[in-house]
Amino acid sequence: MQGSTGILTGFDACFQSVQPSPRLPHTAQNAATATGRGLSNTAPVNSIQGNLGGMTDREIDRQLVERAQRGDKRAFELLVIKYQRKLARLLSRLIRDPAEIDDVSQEAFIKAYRALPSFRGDSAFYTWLYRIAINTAKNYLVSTGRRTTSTSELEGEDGENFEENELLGDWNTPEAELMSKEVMQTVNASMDALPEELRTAITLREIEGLSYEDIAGIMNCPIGTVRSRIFRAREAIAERLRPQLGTSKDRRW
Amino acid sequence: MSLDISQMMDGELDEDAARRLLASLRDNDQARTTWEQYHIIGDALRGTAGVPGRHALQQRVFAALAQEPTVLAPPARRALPARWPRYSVAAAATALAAFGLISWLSPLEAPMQQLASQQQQWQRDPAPLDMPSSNAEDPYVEAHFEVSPAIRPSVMRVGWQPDEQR
Repeated sequence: MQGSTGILTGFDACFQSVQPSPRLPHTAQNAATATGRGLSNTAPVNSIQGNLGGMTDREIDRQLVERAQRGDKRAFELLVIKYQRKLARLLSRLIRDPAEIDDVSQEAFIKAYRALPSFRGDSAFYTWLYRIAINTAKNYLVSTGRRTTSTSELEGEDGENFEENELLGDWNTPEAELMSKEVMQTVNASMDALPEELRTAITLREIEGLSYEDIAGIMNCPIGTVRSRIFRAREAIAERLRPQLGTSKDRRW
Repeated sequence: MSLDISQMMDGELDEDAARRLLASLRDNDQARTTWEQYHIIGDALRGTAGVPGRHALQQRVFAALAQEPTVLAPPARRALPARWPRYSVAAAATALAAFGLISWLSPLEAPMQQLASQQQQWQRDPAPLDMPSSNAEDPYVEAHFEVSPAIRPSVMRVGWQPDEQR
């Protein structure tokens, strides 16, 4: 099993029968099914996680925004990289055509960049971006004579809960569905190939949103081991995804 | 560096190290690729992935950004450092003490002196009541008294009754 990642060192002797399900669920949707919980309970919570002394996700965004406010466009690009999928997914609830979603996404990011001087950090960056994207989408729909969806149908109180209520499959073209399946299959296959301790660690982190300290408690091992396991899990999955991610301009995502 | 990126994304990298890492991401293409791949993996595990054409969109946004005038704005206001609340409390306490001292001393002097001299004046030369007695029944004045009954002549006269008796 270790050989599947090529980077395992076998020092995880401290892992002691966490006893997750024989095959831990990989995606949020599978996790919801396996744990008997709704998707709303499996939302990414890394935005609110952060160990004592660690820079929180919100603060990371804020640092990037401040760098962008000082003229560093490359910092804003990192925010685009981070949130483009989440934003496009949000917009897919309002707009069905993927090409139009791309247009509105681009416009929303550019509007956000232009509005950076007004961002004071009173809300999370994504919440702020979310509002801009919703308004951009509504204006687009009005300009094309289409009905707009009530925002309340899309969001929680701060717009952060939208994704939690989402299910995969809004991309309704055959090509899009195929691409989605390919991506998810690759991720699931990568997770299947991981040693159980790595799979458990990254699942507890990425899907359940637990801190390293909590994961260390659950897995009964040092925090440093948790850090190493999550990193090695990411690297192992990335290695399998790289052929799809590639570097060519026509890569799919 | 990839380990640091992984740790930072999880909110587990200390602030100083995270700041340095974010700064280094500006010009390190390999690190930026890692940033992207790790976020894609996270999105995929949470069910946000599978959105096609994302990289193409990313390149479009970058191209559009390059055409935009560079934003140069003062950083957003920062939260006060931890030591500021202590200074603020000390400053507020000092200001409150100063205000209290002034408020305590001032009424003891000027108004008291004024009252004393006024009392001496009354005793030396008791003045007739300056009351608009002839206007007391004036409807216009009455209307005003309805608004401010506390200064009705009758009330004011009562206040001076002892002097009149004396």
